[in-house]
Amino acid sequence: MSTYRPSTIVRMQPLMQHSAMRSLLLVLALIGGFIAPGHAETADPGYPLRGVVTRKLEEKKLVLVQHQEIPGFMRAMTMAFSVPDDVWPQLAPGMHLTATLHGSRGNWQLSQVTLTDANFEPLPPPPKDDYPVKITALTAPATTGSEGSTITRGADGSIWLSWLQNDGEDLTSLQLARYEPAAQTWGAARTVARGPDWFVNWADFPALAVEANGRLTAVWFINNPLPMHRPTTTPTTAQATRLGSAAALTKAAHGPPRRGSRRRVRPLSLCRCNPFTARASSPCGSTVAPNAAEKKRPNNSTAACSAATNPIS
Amino acid sequence: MLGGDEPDQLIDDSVCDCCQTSLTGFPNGDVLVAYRARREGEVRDIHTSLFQDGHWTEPRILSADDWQINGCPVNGPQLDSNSGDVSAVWFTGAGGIARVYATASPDAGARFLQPQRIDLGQPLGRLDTVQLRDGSRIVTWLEGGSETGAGIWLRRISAQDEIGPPVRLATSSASRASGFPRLALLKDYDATPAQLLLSYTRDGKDSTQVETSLITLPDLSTLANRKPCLPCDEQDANATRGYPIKGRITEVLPDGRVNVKFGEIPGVMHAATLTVTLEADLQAKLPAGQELLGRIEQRGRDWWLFNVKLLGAGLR
Repeated sequence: MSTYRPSTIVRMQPLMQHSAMRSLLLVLALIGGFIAPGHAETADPGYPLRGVVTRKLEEKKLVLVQHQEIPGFMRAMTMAFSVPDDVWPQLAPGMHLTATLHGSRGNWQLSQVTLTDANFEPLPPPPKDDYPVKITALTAPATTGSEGSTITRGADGSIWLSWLQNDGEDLTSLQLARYEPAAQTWGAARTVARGPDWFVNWADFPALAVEANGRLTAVWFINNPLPMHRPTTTPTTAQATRLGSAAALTKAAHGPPRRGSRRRVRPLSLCRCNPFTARASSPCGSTVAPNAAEKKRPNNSTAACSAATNPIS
Repeated sequence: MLGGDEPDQLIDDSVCDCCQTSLTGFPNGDVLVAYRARREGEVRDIHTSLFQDGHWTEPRILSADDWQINGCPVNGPQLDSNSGDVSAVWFTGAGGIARVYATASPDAGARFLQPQRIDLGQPLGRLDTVQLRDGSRIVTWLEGGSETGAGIWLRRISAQDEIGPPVRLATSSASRASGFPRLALLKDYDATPAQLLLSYTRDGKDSTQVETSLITLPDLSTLANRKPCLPCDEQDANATRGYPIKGRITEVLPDGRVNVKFGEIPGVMHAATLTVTLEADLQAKLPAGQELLGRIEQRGRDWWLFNVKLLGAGLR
């Protein structure tokens, strides 16, 4: 019997042989003898083991596993095991596994290793086949100090990358670049807006909506709401103010900014989400209707977002 | 409506406030939202609501994971759709076990399939998804744990709900600074394979850097030896243009076009009778009364009927 089949009947026999073997093993272990590994591997059906990987000893190629009690054989403890070569690279501290334990002191081995969740239920099946995805790095026009990126596909089919760029001191800018399919590159970065005291956070990144006529609307976060009466001199500034207000509204709905520590805030009501902005990341951010000034603006498809075509500097 | 005077509508009065929400729109103007709700006992499971006929439907739980957590995990769900097909993915830590689940709806969010777990055992969530026209779905998520596992991973889930092998797109740290990787469809399958764009933040020692990748999915023919493989090649995928209908020819017009009456196409249009142009191979093969399965698509101003399978015999 060279392999163990998952059949109850087939497994019965080796188990019965095994109790005799186990007695022998224990006796030999007690008198300080050892079993030749080859012998143990072929005749010993092993013991079912459940445990969690605590360390990998790279030089010795051993895995430390804190395992549960093996009833009638071994109490719960942490031990070093050798594992099959194909399993070794898959293991890492914190991983739970089930396995079959073989061997003896100084030469403990695990076979039939299955990675599991914390309840020792098997994880989804490992890959049987390759899925040959081709990954091509695309140089983003973002520089060091960039974060909070999003890719937005517009209703007009255009693709945009937006991100936040740390411009030194307290300045942050919202940047945009359009994907050029023919050249398979990003176009040049364009500054939408720049300001001090922006709310820059790992989870609250700006959102962009692109209409079928090519107009863009962006929402981002500012720490202190801009005063609504802030003097405006150019349409661009007005647009930025409008967007700033939208950001402030969104932020208000989310409670005060979280800096580092997460804090609990009151349950939040979701605002109305507008069907116009499919696949926006924040419904609240997309619910702010254009103000009256915006509605009066000529619907010029080439104007896009004034912020995108008329960068604030 | 945008810019209108209608009052805001409340979708849900108790939600998890730091988790991103996700929206996806359908051709008929309906919109589906997914978000993490906050229920009695701090249970924070994913819910959906559909914007239909000017109102948001009563929120429904997407999956009763029963994740109780005091505080917001900052890990929202993601949706994407193509015609009425919806892909939904989310993270849960229910029972103290981190998991990423994926499910799909064939009818614009009215019904969802049994969720499938797609992570590698130590996921951090921060996921995204793209629904392809052929019915397959692409999912990305962030996996933590060891050096061999940590990173941004991708899987394809076939139109038959088979979970494909995981592919690592990039290594990534588990830190917050690594942010939320974002995925977008660049082009779907046509004569050539589909392409996606990914953006993410590389968390360096002292600084962060936005990175992007172009992801070209494999030729569908490389999946052809797997069962079931439909769509098995780019031609198959290309044949999934437009919208599927089940209908009946009601009239053959003198110019060769036909009137076809069909049931509702979820997320796309109500039950209707439409005058359609036939592709050459169908000309004169569809008598009045013929029941059929097929696809309709708008080309220019006209609607076309193609990819037809006849059902039974004609009624007369």
